[in-house]
Amino acid sequence: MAKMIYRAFIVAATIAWSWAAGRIGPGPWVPSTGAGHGFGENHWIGVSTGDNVSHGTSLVWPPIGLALARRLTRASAGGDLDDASVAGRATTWVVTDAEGEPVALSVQDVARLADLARIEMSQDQLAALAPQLDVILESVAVVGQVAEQDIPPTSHAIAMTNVFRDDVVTPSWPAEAMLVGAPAVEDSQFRAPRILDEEA
Amino acid sequence: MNDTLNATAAELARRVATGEQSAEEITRIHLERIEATNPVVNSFLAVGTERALETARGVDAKRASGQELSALAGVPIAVKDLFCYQGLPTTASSRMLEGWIPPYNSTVVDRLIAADMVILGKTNLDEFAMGSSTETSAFGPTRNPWDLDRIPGGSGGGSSAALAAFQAPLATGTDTGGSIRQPAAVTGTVGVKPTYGGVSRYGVIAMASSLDQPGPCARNVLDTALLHQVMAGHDPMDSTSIKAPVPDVVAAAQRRDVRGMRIGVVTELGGEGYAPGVEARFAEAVELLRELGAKIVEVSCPYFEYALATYYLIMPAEVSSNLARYDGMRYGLRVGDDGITSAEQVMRLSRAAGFGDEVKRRIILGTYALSAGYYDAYYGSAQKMRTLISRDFDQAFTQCDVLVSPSTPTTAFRFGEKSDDLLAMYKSDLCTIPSNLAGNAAGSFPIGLADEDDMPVGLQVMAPVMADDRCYRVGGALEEALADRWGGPLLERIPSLDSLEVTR
Repeated sequence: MAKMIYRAFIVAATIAWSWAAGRIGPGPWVPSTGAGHGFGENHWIGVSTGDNVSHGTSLVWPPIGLALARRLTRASAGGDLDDASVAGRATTWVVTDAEGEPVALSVQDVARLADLARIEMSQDQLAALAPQLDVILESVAVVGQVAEQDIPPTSHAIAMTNVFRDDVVTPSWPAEAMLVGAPAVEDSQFRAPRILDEEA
Repeated sequence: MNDTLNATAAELARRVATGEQSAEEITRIHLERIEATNPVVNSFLAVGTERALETARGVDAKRASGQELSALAGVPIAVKDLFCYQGLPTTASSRMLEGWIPPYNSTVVDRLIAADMVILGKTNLDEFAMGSSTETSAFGPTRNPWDLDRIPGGSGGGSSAALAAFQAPLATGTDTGGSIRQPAAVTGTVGVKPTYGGVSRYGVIAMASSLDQPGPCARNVLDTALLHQVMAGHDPMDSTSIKAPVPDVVAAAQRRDVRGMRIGVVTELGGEGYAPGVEARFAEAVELLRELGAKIVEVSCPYFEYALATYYLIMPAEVSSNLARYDGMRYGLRVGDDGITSAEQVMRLSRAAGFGDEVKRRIILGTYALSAGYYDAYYGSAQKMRTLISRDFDQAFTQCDVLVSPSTPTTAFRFGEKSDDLLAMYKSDLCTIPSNLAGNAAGSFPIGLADEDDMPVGLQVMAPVMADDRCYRVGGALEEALADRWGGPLLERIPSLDSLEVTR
C-alpha cells in the first residue's frame, strides 16, 4: 500500500514538474534540445514525420522519475534504448538517411554547433543539415590519415614573421563614420540589446 | 557590337590619352549597355551612374589640362561586391549587409581611383563568396551570356558575366578556391589569381583569410596584366602583403613566346569526372604549346588528390571565424531587437535571417572542425596536408617552369543542376584549389568551346610563388596562337549578344 502511494506521489510530482517546465501539457510534447532552450518545431513522440527522423525520448526527467521515463521511452520509440541514452541526456534524436542508415551527426550535435555559431535554427533545418554535413565530413575525413605523422602544419602559404610597422600614431576613423551603418545608436555609441537573458 | 564596347581596355586607354574619344562618352556607352542588358544578365547589383560620369569628366579635364595620365585612366571597370567602396552599398550578395555603405574604401578600390579608372558599379557573387555558380547570391543568380540557362561560374560570376556581356572591359574579382579562374573558364574570359599577398586584402570582405586573394579579370591577357599592375603591390594595412615589387606582368603578356619553357601537365588533374570537351580542348592547347616551342613534361602531384578535402576543412574553419563578426551589433542586419530580447538571442535571430543556407552550412562545418576533440583529426590534419600539397608544388617546379591543367572539370552547367549534390558543386574547384592552398600564382585562359555544348573551356597556368609573370607569358602566347587559328578572339563567337538587351 505504502509502495503504491509512494509511486503515485512520484508520478504526480513528475507530471507537475514537467507541466511547469513546459515539457508536457495540452498539445504536442515539446522536445528539449541539448541546448536547453530553442523550442523549434514540435513533434509528437514516436511518430515519424516522414522526414527520416525517428524520434526517441524527448523529455528531461528528474532523476526520480527515471524508471517511468525508461518505460515510456521504450514504448514510444518502438525500439531499444538503453539506460545510458536516457539517463542524463536531453535528447536522442536518431537521424537516418534515405537508406535508413544511421548518420554520424545527430540533430543534437548540429543543434549544439548552431548554438556555438549563434545561429537560430529550427528542428527541421537542423534535421536537414545533419545528413548534408555528414556527406561533407565523410569526404573530408580522408585528411585524417596524416594526423599521426610528424609533418609541420601550414597555416599561411607564404610564411611571414614579425611584420611590424613603426609605433607612430596615425589618424583613425571618426566615431560618426563608424556609427553610420549601425543598427541602433545612442549617445555616439552602439546601442546593444540587453546582455543578460531573462533566465540569467 | 558597338566599337567602343568591343574595344580592349588598352585601346580605350589610348583613345582617352590621345583625346580621340572622351572618357565621358566611353563611360556613357557602357552605362547604357548595362542598363539595357542587366535585367537579363543580372551581373550588376548596383550601378553608380552619376559618380562614374563625374569621374570620367574629371579624367577628360585632366587630359585637357595637359597632365600625364596613368596607363588605364578613363577606362571603366566593374568591381565585385566584396570590395568596400564608399560610393555604393557593399553587400557581399547577402541580406546580412543589404544596403550597407562602407565608411572606407578597400586598398584595391583606392588604387583604381588613384589610377583614374571609372568604377561603373558592383557585381554579383555567391553569398560571401561561397559557391561556384553565383546561385547562392541573395539577390538572384547571374546568367552566363553564352547561354542564359547556364551559370556564369562562381563566386565571381557577376564580374565574368559583365565582361562576356561587354558591359565592362575590366573587372575585379577575389579567388579563395577558384572564384576568379572558374568563372573566367566558363565564360571564355581571362582571370588571374596573383601570388598570395600580391594584392592587398584590406577592405575586402574576408572569407578565408589564408586563402583569399583579389585579382584582375578581363577579356584578353594584356588587359588583365595592365589591371594586375594597378591592383597589386605592398600595402602596410595588410600584414600578409608581400614587400616586393610586382613581377613585370605586362611585359610578360606582350612577350608572346614560350620557346624553351618547360610546361608540366599535372597527372592528377584530369581523367574521370572531366567532361570530354574540356579534356579535348586541353589536349589540343598543350599540343599547341608544344608546337610553339615549349617542352611538355608529365608531372605527378599525388597530394593534389587530397586538396579538395583539405580546402573544405580549412576554408569553413576560417569562414566560421571570419563571419563571427556579423552579429547584428555594429553593422548589418539586426533582427528581433524589441527591447526585451537578449543580445545573444538577437545575434542568433539576426544571423539566421541574414545568412543563406550555404553560408550557414559552411559556418557550422567550420565550427565542428575547430571544436574541442575534433581539432586534430580535422583542422590540424588539414594543415599538415596543406604542407604536403605545397611540397608537391615545390618538387613539381624543379621539373618545370609552370604547371598546366584544365581550369575546371566541366563547362558551365545549367541552373539547379548541382544545387542538390553538394560534392558535385564543390568539385568544380578541383583544379583551382591547390594554388590557393600553396599560395602560388595561377590564371585561366580561354582555349575554345567544348564540342558537346559549345560552351567555353579554360586552361589553367600555375606558376611558382612570386612568378606571376610566367602565367601571363604562357597565356599571352596561347592567346595569339589561338586567335590566329580561329581568325579572331573567342568571344566573337558568343551567340546573339543582342538578345541580352531588354526591349524598351
